[in-house]
Amino acid sequence: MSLLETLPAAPRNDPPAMKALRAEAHERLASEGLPTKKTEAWRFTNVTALTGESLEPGPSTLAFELPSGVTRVERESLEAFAAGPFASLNAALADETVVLRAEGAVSEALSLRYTGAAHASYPRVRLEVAKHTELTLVERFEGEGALTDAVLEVVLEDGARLTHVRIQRDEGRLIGLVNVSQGRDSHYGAHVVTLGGQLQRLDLKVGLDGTGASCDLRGFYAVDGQEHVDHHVKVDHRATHGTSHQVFRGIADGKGVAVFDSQAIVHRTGAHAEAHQENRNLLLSASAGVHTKPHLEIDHDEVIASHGATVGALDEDSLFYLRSRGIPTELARGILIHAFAHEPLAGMPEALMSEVEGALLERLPASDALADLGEGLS
Amino acid sequence: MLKIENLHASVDGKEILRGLDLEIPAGEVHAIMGPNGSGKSTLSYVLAGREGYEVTEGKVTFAGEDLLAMDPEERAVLGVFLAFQYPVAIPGVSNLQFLRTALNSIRKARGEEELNAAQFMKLARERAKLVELKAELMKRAVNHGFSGGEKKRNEIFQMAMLEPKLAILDETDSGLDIDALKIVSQGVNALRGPDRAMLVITHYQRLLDHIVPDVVHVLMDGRIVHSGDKDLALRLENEGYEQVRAEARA
Repeated sequence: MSLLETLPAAPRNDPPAMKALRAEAHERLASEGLPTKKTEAWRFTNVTALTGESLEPGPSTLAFELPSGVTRVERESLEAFAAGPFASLNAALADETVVLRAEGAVSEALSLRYTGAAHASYPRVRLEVAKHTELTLVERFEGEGALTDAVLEVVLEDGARLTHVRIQRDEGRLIGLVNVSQGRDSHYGAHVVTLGGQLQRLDLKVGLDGTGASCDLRGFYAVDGQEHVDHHVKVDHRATHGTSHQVFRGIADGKGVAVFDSQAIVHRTGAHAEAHQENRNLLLSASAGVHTKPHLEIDHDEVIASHGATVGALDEDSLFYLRSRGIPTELARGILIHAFAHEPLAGMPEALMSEVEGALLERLPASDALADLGEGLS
Repeated sequence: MLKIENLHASVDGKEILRGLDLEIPAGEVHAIMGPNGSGKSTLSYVLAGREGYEVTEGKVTFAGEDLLAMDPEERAVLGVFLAFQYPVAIPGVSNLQFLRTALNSIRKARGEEELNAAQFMKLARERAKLVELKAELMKRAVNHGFSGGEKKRNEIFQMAMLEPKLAILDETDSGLDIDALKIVSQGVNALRGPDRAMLVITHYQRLLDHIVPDVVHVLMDGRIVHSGDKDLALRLENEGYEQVRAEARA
């Protein structure tokens, strides 16, 4: 039985703008279907259970309010972009594409909230940031989704700057794609925080398509119990003088599994590129698992690049140092794990930082004592 | 105050300490000198309770308690402090956060009231003066990007904050220039007192010009082979360990 036969009919709402997208998506799904255990990009993340479940879309799980400077616009047609099986599923079943455009002075952060529900949902957003416009986007994924298959398409025009904070705390299944296309001299700064969940997967694809574009991708993830998170990051240096930084760190405890796969590709057209990738993982239990694979593909000589990945336990020397000063073992562990998480989170807007810290602290040993560590010191 | 009897300890199955005896009464400063590999650092780690150092024989009592039965944090509560030879850098945790957590953990375990931020800051500013530690360094991440001398000053600053009953200084002089050595020594001397015992472990006699010990012990092959007054350190420097050991045997 092909996937198409089991697919729900197209959603009730079927705006003409979705036509090309849907056609392409159906074609892809017909030929490729959903990932199996043999699909390389999904090797460590098993989604075969979904095939037996209802993929029928329910009511929208996306809520947002627009600050001044951001408007909702209509597009006559929307084009498909290179994606993956779940982006195709999304294109086939999304009610619509919410197209938002930021232009000129934007009063405050744009906030999108996704609340995972007992039914499948396919939120789809396209965000355009106009020339020389600066915007902060905050996405929060909450609730417990049967399946939230979310697609965000970001288009940064020349000189635009976007700070993107994405806090993934869906306790169920979240599979997301963020596809960013960057114009000349634009900047994209991402802070992705993924805390647990039955399955939270993010594909983050960034195209440095205009000369001098730069991106700074930072992420932190944590798993415990039976949780599973997966981050697939891909940066394409297609234009000259592009800069990309990736700093991702994670902790795996219990029987949790964390997957990190990162590609930086410097194309023949991407001279004078600078590309850095770093992934560090703390393995806190012998039953937890981490799969990490940063890789670089370089089609050009004039490139500055570095990459590295580590998986290790808490540093015994540091732990002993703290304990020798009278700090109880659990608190000492909490302090070191917290410090480990600090770097990828650094540089986030302050209010969001405390929100993320709060959520993170709940997951650490001796969280109460950790919470007032810095209280009142100056 | 500290009593070590017939202490044997191994690391990775290799015996390093082989029947060490040592007693330090309250109020005294004892120095241990010895060649490389004689067991100096092993002794300091065994006393502080580091994992991986297996005690196979002997006992250590401190303030009447069986020290070897305790976790490192319990020893700190009892008043043991180790100034590390190689202090660890901890990015992401400020020196002040770290020290207040340490101090209040100890106070809490002793049933004493914890210090609030203002009380703590007042104490920290006062004690930082002892080792001329700049305010900026107190706020930075623990030992992160500190020079060798700054790390050692930070160790003595921590000692001044935690007010231990037994301070073990593991090669605190290594890597210090003469100015830094003087500052660190001043700090240590200011902390000498009738209720505090100190064990100064060093490779070089010059530290003992600044921190003058009551007793000097010579550690070789995992045992104390000779003890004497401060002049013994000078003789070790001039005549060498083997000569001193030979005389001690005669």
